[in-house]
Amino acid sequence: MLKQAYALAALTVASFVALLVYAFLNLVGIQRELQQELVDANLWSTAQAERETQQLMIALAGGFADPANNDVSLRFEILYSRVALLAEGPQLAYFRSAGFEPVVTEAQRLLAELDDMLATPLTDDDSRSRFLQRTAELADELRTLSNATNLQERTERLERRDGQSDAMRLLLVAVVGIFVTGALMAGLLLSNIRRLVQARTELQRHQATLEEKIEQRTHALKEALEVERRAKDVYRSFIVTVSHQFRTPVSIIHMIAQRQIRNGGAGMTDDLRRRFVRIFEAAERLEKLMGAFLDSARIDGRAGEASRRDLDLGRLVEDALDQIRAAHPDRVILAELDPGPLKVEGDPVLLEQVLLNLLTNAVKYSSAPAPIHVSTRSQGRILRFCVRDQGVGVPSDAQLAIFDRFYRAPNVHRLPGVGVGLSLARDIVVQHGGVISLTSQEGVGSTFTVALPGAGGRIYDEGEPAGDNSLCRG
Amino acid sequence: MTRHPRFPDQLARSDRRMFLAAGLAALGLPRIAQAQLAGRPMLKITAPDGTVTELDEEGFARLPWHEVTTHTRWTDGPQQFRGPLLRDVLELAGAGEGVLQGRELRMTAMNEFQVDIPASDAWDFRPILAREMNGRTMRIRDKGPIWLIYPRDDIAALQNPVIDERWIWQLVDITVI
Repeated sequence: MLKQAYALAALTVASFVALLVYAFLNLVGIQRELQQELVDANLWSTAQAERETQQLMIALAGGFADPANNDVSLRFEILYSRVALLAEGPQLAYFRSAGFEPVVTEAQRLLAELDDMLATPLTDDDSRSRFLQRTAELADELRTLSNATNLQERTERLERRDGQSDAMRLLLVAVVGIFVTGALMAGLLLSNIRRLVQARTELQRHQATLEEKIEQRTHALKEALEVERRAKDVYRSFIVTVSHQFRTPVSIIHMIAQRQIRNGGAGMTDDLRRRFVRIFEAAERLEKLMGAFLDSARIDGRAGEASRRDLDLGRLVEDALDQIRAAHPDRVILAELDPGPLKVEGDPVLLEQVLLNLLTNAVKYSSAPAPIHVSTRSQGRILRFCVRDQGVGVPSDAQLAIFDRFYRAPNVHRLPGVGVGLSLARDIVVQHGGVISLTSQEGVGSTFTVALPGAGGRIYDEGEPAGDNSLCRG
Repeated sequence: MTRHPRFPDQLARSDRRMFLAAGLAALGLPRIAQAQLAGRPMLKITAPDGTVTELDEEGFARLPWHEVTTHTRWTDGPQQFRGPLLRDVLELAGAGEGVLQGRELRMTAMNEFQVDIPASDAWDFRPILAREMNGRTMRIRDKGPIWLIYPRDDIAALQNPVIDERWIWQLVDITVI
């Protein structure tokens, strides 16, 4: 739109300039014509010739009593030169163009006749009378020519004047047009500039407000984060405190129950013994539960300050397998480990916790003699650790929530657990720049896969799909 | 520039029959030969101090002549003119450059036409008092005997109508004013 306006303005100015040039050229043409001043000169020449005819007639009228008086002859010569002037060069060209050539020719003819007549003395009345007659005719012709030239000259002057005023008018229109268009354009430009300045001011103000807002938000977020962190600390210390506070009494209960079972003697009835066993088992469960809570709090606290170092994931896996095998000698664990070193940068305690958690889960949620498959693989710069069991599996509607804290799938409620293990494992893996994922089918089994970036790498750079663990199947 | 028609216009409009009647008697005279004109002084020069110098054909011929080939406003094509420099004629009449400083020359033709030109023209543009045109002595009917010719083609400043008005022909009198 604005572009079109500019184009229109430019076109207008261009046409006015063209008009200006046209008018100027016209004026120059008229000026040049005036410079030549041919018309004026021709009028003067015809007037002079006419005048010389009259001079000759005056000379004739003055009488020639004195033969030495050569006035007539002199006047004739001058007249001759005058008429000759009209019949030569630019003068004749002018009369020809104006259509007066026949008059000039006639004047020339009469002049020649007069010249011939003067060659011999005009002695008789007849020849004198004829000479006068011819002179009068010549005077008539020259007067005609003079009048015609005068008229022509005046007409041309008027035309020239008209042309001049036309050109002047055009010039004026062009100048006014250029001025007006220029003023309009200047106005447009000015208003544009003003608008631009306004927009810029507004933008600056907006930017200032925005920065202020961002600062405010950042501050608010920081505060919220701080509050949350404090809340987390409080929560954790609460858990730790409570667990510690409970631990001792529960231990005492546990211990007493155990002692009563072992040393009850004969005085103890079967019923009482059964009751102690139940107390003992309940206390043991409670102890384990609190142990898990304390572990969780410990690891949670540590997760914030993980100490990184170069590790071999293979070694970690082997250690974890050793522990699990020792704890559960009845279970078959089939390991398929990558022989090479699996360099990873991370915290050994935290990563071991992840491995142990996944292995323990596999043991816990499946039953002998179904084997547990464990594998490690190095794929490009990504290291994978897979644990596959043939246990209860995770219901499909629970799979999304399985890594949430305190979440427990509905089909495992009868088994002991707090619902923090997988959540912690997820946190630790993510903290190491890795991904933990699950594929599972209820009643068939589950496969947990941990993918970690090899030392110096980042898993997302490799375009690793989070849930792809096809290599871990079978 | 001044033009001085000697006769008022009304004369032209008066009854020319009067002249016809009066002139009948005069025409018995023989035609005056060109040679008779040549006997008279051709040019009269009046210096600022009133000194009058008359030049006849011979006096004219004694001065060094120069040639100017130029276009004129009244003719077609270049024309060749010959004659003494106006400057030389003025100096001969005792009107040198110093004397003429800031003055004008009133030039008068046979038909009483007059034009005033700056005296400095004689030195600035070196016009000639042409006596010959294209190798032929100019008669009165050829704008002779003397035609003031400026070297128009050689000097751009001369190619304008104002200067063209100074080209007086049938020149008979120069008076310093």
